[in-house]
Amino acid sequence: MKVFELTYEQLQALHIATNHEFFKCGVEDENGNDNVVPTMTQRGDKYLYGVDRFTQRFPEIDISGLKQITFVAEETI
Amino acid sequence: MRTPFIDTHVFKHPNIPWGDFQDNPLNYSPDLLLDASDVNANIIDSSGVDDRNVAIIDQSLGMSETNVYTQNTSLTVDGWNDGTNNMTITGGNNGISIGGVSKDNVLKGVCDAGTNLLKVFKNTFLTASKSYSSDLYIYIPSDNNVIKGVALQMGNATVTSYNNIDGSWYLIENYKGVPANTKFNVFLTDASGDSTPSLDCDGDIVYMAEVSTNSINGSHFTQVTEASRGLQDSATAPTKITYDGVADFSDGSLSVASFSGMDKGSIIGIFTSTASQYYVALTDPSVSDKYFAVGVSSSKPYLWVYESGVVSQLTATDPVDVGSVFEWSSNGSLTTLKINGVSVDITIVAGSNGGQWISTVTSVDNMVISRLELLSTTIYRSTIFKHLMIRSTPLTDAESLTYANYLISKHNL
Repeated sequence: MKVFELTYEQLQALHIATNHEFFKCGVEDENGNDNVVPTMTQRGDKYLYGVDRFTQRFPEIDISGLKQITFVAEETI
Repeated sequence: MRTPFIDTHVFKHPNIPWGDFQDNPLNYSPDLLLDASDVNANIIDSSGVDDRNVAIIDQSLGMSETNVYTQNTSLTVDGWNDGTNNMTITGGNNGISIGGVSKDNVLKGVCDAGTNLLKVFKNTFLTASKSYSSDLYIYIPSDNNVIKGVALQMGNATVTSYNNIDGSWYLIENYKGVPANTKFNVFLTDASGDSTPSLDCDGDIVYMAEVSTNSINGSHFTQVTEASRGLQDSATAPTKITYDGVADFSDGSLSVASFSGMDKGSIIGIFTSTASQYYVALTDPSVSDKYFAVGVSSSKPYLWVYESGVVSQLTATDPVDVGSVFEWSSNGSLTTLKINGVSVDITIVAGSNGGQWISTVTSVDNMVISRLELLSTTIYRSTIFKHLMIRSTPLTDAESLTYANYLISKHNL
């Protein structure tokens, strides 16, 4: 499965591009700014999210600048 | 209703106790009962699977609903407001009649927004993560210039549109949602369904009456973040919920305390894939390595009991066919595994088999499907979820057979 490997800044940009709804966990600071709460797999300082699922939901959003990798699940337990 | 059990599955279990066959899992008095194939136990809106607005209802509490709001705008606006002052709204409008239908105590909104966003909303009567069902009447006069429909939204969940409903009292029935916050929004929309109309809508009128919102009891496994919802395979005839292993999970909002004290019992599910999965995981994410989980690892059903380190890690000794019913049980001193209602050998991968169960892991306060939330890491697994039943009393051998056959029949395994 192809996933985006996103920086926090890229994740926030997608959050804004999707009208603050798709990735939102509902945390808003005292200044009214949305804070993305990670609800996805983190690898180091990167956030992973399925490419197909995102592009099917938001075909109009330009993803050409986002890095894509093949997802390999962790088997740590 | 008792169902004559005449199909090929009987050949798997020639000892099935025919006379005791029960097709209602509630007869087993489960402490938790989730099933992905019951359309009534999953909340999805009418536009289909893409919305993924899934809340798996805990049927052990039944499927009843409790009213949390009934519109009372006989004198006031009853807490409804337009937020951005783009409408003038009033209560106490009586005798609003069209098509021979007349309604009293109606909320009336007159647009004054130009081409700005139009909505009315009521706050604070919803609880985030619970599931709700609403009925309401909308009347949009057909001589409105711009406003022709509405769109409903609970919290920031997916918007459901009702376009071009002008000209009569229109009943919106059984609108369902899983809000991420406490707000119920009613957007006003133009002929194209846009809530920021392209033409000046000033002077257009909308009436709303008899809003009734119910909380769906047993609404225990939800996901308010759209990007993290599992996918249901069908809106009308679902069989499973698929979690992608990257971001998806269903979060239990129930009282984990009712499970954390269980020192014995049974957990039954369907072995849906040899890929690694978490059908359910109870953890204490504030402490390292504290969890109780049922799932799949190394291509077999797996049971993990960790209490600041491994206590018990068990699996089936022999390969198990995908599509089998598994049942982990503990009597408090020994854990056993049944496949399709029949006992099979267990291999102790680590630790011991002393019947360690949920209470072995002290202070679990987190209960989810498809992910394991630990102190130092969160692990997602691509889980195919069909069924989960937890009971504090282990099933008897006869009950195990009948329950397994019930699931085999229900899920066409």
